Order: sequence, then structure tokens, then C-alpha cells
Amino acid sequence: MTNFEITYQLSIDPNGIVRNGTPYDFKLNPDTYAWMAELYRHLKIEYPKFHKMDHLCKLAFLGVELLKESVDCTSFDKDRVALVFENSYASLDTDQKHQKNVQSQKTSPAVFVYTLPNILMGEIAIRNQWYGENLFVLNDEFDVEGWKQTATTLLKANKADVIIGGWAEVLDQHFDLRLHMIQRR
Amino acid sequence: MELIEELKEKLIEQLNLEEMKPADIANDAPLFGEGLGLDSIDALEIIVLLDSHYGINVSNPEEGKEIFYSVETLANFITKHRS
Amino acid sequence: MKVFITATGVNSAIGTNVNECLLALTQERSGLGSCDIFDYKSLHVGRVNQSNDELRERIGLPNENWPRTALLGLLAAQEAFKGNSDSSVRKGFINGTTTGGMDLTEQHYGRPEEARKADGWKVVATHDLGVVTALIAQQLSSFDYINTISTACSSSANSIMLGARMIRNGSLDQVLAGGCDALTSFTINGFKSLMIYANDVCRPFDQHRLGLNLGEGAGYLLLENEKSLASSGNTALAELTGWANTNDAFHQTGTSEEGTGAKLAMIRALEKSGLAAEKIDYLNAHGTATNNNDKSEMAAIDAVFDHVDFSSTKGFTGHALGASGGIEAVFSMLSLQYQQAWVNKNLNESLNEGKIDPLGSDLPKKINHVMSNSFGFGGNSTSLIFTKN
Repeated sequence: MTNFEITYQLSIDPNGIVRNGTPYDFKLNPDTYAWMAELYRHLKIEYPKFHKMDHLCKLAFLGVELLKESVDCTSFDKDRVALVFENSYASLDTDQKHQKNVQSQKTSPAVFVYTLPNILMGEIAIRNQWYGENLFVLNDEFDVEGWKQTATTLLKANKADVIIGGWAEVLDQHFDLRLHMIQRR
Repeated sequence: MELIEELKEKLIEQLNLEEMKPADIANDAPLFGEGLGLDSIDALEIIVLLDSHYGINVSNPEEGKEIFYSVETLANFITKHRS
Repeated sequence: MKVFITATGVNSAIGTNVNECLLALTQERSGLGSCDIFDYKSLHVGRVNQSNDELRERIGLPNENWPRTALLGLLAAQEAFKGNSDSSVRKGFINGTTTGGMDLTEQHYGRPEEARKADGWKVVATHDLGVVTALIAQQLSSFDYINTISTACSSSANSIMLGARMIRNGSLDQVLAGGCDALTSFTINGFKSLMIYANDVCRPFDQHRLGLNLGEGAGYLLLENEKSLASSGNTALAELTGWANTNDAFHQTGTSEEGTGAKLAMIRALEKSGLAAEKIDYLNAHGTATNNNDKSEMAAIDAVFDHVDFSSTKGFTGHALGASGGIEAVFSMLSLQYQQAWVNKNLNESLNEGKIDPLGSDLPKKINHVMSNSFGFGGNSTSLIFTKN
């Protein structure tokens, strides 16, 4: 029986960033989302498209960038990195903005683009040129065992070598990322 | 010239070009592809901008290709069509 | 472990059940019509020809204020799933949707601000995706596993794929899989803002296509393994033999010129089924009729096939977003069952960039293997392969 293990864990929420159980040295002020651009600069990322993303995509994107800081992802087979994410609000944070735009008859295509939760996986795939499977699932709350089960299903089916994902949720001032990586050992 | 400067500021704001300042955008530099790296969604946002700020209606994004080539071509188009 | 398909359920602009849809497909009759709602009377949409009241009556819930997405979903789900009393059969329901309860959410936003505040955000959230699945599930059976997938326009194809995989790895014996989506002002506005909503009827794979028409509906397959078949007594209509999902990794809404994700999905699905490309007797393409999708899907089809009989059925139904993969899975099943490939409606002049032309009329032929493509925003690309039993 092949063993699959979670090899990486990261959380970002209003209390801060914790990577593999250790607080990450970056102070975020949860009152506004300015910390996202600050973290982007802190990580010395050069990817102007970041600034066009909605908060949900930025959150997941930054999580993966933090992962890449401590894990060498360049050795991964780009066709065999799969993304499995879940949350409960889908893209409601941006849905609200689009709905307001519709009502004031000022629809913005750049907002509408983000009214789907799976776009966050698209952004990560584009950034890293990962062509593997993507799955976005809706759940009431995050259950890491449940996530692990879904991720393991993909690994067992030999669809991927690495699964990156977990819980990514943003609604108004609430944000919560639980990023995990699971690998074939 | 005023229009060109105004456009640069509006583009930076509307397209979330956070790392750019108006001075970074050359009047004749390509906005798409190699230049500023704008994409199809940005083109659509520029169409929205033309409509909301200048009252100009571009109904076919394909038309936009030449009009949106640079800030200069965009300004020329606006000057010509502004109501 | 084999994955059999034993029942189907569907509704779309061309019919409110499998037989009505089959009739329209064989009569080459499109369901696209003028938009009857919102401020978009000039647009064409593919609406399911039933009011919410009629739908409530049909599904036997005359008093429930469900989102339309759930009403459409339950109608198709009831057709595909007749229940299974054998408690040793592990049952799953996997539902794909993107609009969820958006029609009710739109009503919520239309309310005065005070009333909206009293509703609270969670009300809107519970009208969203997962709740639609739960509403449908509780009317059908007690399931051992329920899941909601939202990967844009490939949502229900991905539900079917996950269902097949869970049967294949022994987690479940019987899975109802597919998806549902309803027309909303939210999505019509959005696609208009992307300037890919046609002013006319949509013309998939046409040289002069002007964009898509949105549609709505639901489509489900009942997937079973041999153990489940033994207790349900159902007859296997076909087998799901291939599936794959990839990411195009190119752009949020646009697809790459060469259709990288699409090509990879089709190739991997073929590998999974062990079939050579020439064995595919009919390909139900995604074919939304947007300039971008059809061009890149055509490039991918050209790269994978020397020749294939293919069409998009979106000229019949419009693009039902998250439901389209489920609806087209049922159309692919009908193709196997009735040995006919479906016409590519509204085609005047074929997209000549492809070596292969879409079907100009329904084509009766021997059909053993059908491939169905579903692609979504975010680069999400899925191909499924159905094989005659």
C-alpha cells in the first residue's frame, strides 16, 4: 500500500500566518486587505497580474507562493500537479460586487471573471504552468481528513504526483486559508 | 497632451496596474502583449472606460486592436469620437 | 471495476425529460428563443419551457421556495434515480453547479436594505451551491456521500468523473452524478460584459459565429458497479470508460490558441479508456460558439483526430454553464442508444481553420464510443468517454 502524507501545511487568517506549525514572520493587519500587497512585496514577487485578482485568488495565490519559498516545486512534473480546493461561500465575496455593478448598470468584466471559485486554481495554474487536474468542492466547513481523502483518491488513481489545496475562503473581512500539500512517498 | 496624461492615470486605476506610474507608460509603447502586458479582459475594461468616461461606444472588441495599440492611438481615437 | 451507466435524466431548452430531448434532437429542432426575462428581450436564450410553479408541481413540492436551479436539478435527478432500498449498496450524489441559488439571491438583493440586513449573509450563502445539492439529495434518498463541485462550465462533467473514480476505487457502488444551472440576470450580464454573448442565435464552429447564448437545465447519469446492478436490477446502457481533467494554464477566461488543456484532456481520456482516437464514433464538443473557444477546441480536435464526426449541441440548448456537461453526457448516451450522431445546429459556413467539419445533419451510424468535452473558465478542461455495453 502506497503511503500518502501531508508534507506541508500553511494557514493564513486574521491571526497571522503559520507555516508547518511555526509562525511566519510577517505582521498582517486584518482590518483591510492592504496586507496582501504588502506580503506580495515582502515575498519579492514580480507578477503584475496579481493586482488584478480578487481577494480570494490573492489569498490562495500568496499561500502557494509561500509554499514555493520553502518547498522546491521546480522539480514537479507540471502535468502532474493537481489542485483540490474547497470552501463554503464559493465566490460570494466577488459575486456581491458583480451584483452591485449589475444593479447600477456598470458591469465590469474584470469583476465578473472572478465570480467562480475555481478561478483561484486557474490563477495558480497559469502562474506555475501546472496542467494537472483541478477540483473545487463546496463544503460547510473544512475537514482536513475529508480533503485528504479526496486528494488521495486522485493520487491512487495515478492522476498526479502532488496535490496542493485545502480550504480557501474570503467573505468581506473574513479570510481563511488552510493550504496543504500531499505527495506520493 | 492633457488627455494622454489623464488616460494614463485612468488606465492605472481601472486596470489595477499597481506597480506603474504614469511616467512609466511611454505614449507610443504597446499596451498589449510585450508592452504593458494587458490582456483581453483589460481590453474589455478599456471599452467600459471609453463608454463611461467619454461616451464612446465600441461594440466589437476586434475593432479595439488598433485603437488600443498605445496610449497615443487611444487618445487620438477619443479626440476624434468624443461627443 | 467497471462503471456502468444505467439511467439518465435531463431537461434543457429542447425538452423537460429524456424523451422530449431525444425527439428534438432527431427532428433537429432547436430550443433557442427570445429572452423572456430581465431587460434583454433582444437576446436569445435556451430556457427550459416550464415556469417555477410548473416545475414545483412536477417534482411534487408545490409549496417550496427553492431556487430554480434546484427545481430543474430535482426534476432531472428524479428521472435518473428511482431509489435503492439495499442499504449495503453505498450510494453517492455528486452535483455540479455554478449559479446555485443565484435567482433567489438576485431577489434578495432586490429587497430594501433593511430587509437585506435582517436576512444576513448566511442566507445568501445557503442559497448557494452546496445547498442546492442538499435540497435535491434529501428528496431522493439517504446518500452515504454527497458532494458539490463548482469548476465553471465543466462542473457536471467533473461530477461524473469523480463519481466514476469513486466507483472505480471501491469507495461507492452507485452514484448519481451530473449537474444543474438556471438562467440568471447575473450571468447574462456577466457574459455580455465579456462581449461574448451573441446578438443572434449562437453558431458553434461557424466561420461567422458571434458568441454564445446562455441556456439552462440539468442532466444526470446513474453510475453503478456490478454489485449495485445485482441489487438494483437495472440494465447497463453503457459504460463510462474514459475520463480526464486538465488545466489549460493560459488565461482566466480565454483558452490558449492551440487548445493545450483541451488536447491534453482528450488524449488522457483516450489513454484511460485504452482506445485509439479513430475509435471515437462521435464527439460531442464543448463548442460554445465564442470566437475563442471554438478556435482553440478546433485546433485541439485537429491535433488529436485525423477525422471524427463531431458537433456542438449548444445550437439546440444554448450554453447551460455548469449543467452543460451533464446535459451533453445524456445526449452522448442517446447517441449510443439510438445510434445517431447529432447535427451541429445553425452552421452556415464551417470554421475552415479545422481540417474536420462539424456535422451538417443528424447522422445515423454505428456508434460504439462517444466522447464528450466540457471546458470551463479557469482553464478547467474535461473529456469523458462513453462506450456501448
